[in-house]
Amino acid sequence: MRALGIDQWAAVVGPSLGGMQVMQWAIDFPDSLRNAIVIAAAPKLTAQNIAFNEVARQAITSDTEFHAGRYYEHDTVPRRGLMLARMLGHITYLSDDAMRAKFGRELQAGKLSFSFDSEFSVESYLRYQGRQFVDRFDANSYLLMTKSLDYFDPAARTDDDLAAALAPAKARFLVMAFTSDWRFSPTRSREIVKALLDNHKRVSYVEIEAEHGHDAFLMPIDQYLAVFGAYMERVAAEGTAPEVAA
Amino acid sequence: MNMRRDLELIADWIRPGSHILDLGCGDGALLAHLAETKSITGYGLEIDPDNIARCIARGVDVLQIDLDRGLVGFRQRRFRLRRHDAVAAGTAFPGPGP
Repeated sequence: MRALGIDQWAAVVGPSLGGMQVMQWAIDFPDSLRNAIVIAAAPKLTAQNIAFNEVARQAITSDTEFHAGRYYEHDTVPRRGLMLARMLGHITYLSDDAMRAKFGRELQAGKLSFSFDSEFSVESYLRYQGRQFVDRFDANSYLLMTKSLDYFDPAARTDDDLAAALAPAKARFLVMAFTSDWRFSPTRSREIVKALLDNHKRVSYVEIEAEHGHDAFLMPIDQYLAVFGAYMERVAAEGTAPEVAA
Repeated sequence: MNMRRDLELIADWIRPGSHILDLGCGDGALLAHLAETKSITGYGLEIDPDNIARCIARGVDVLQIDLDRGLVGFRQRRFRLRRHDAVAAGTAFPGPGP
């Protein structure tokens, strides 16, 4: 921030792990941001959520090409492990409804082959997603990012009192969640909102109707765009107000 | 400025700087008006997505809540009705329930 010569961000926006980051910034640097936009996040992960991350990590670290993380020195990458991690993650980022609508029980070849090749469309889709991911994502980054998710728990420092953890924040908040997101569900976003309300902080909460699960935050959903757009226009307008510019 | 008569009437009853909860705040016109004329703080509760976007465009703090299901997840500790100086329920109870 200092390197960029910026004293205060008009808004800091983040989805998922990014949303947690936004919360942490708002707590640690209250004067450095005016608006905190927290999308599809949670105040901390549940055991189930950590469990999914752990299976993904095990897939990577148990790949024989992992080499204790020094795979580039061996001119290789743990493709198989990273692919499995992504396949698992991808399932949890979609909703049951979205998968049913997209694939149902549709077959690749029109009929069953009674083999372990990919038969159902959902299987080939997941394999494709996994393979694609390997080419654009680093395994160690995946490990560290899932660890960051697991560790995030701002209320750990305040006796599990999230309201107390968020008390220092000065930003105005916009919290958004998606109805079919079961990995970072609206219930978890409401916990954040409640903690802000307990502090009488300025906050808006919007629950976007969407069938794409956690992935919804990447989708151009009308209501999502309308709310986000309206908020950011407001941010831009207020940013030029004399009392803020001064 | 073409001010709505009902907004002015309500504004007359509000002490400056009050904390207001507007149940069924619609497009947020009342809260925006009170913020401008009486420097109030507070929240609007609304269920309609289009209205919620309008509230946000006006700079009104709005919470998407289905009041028929109660203040699920929110009704604890300090977020209680009596902590607000005034509660407006313009469109929250438009008629008998289903």
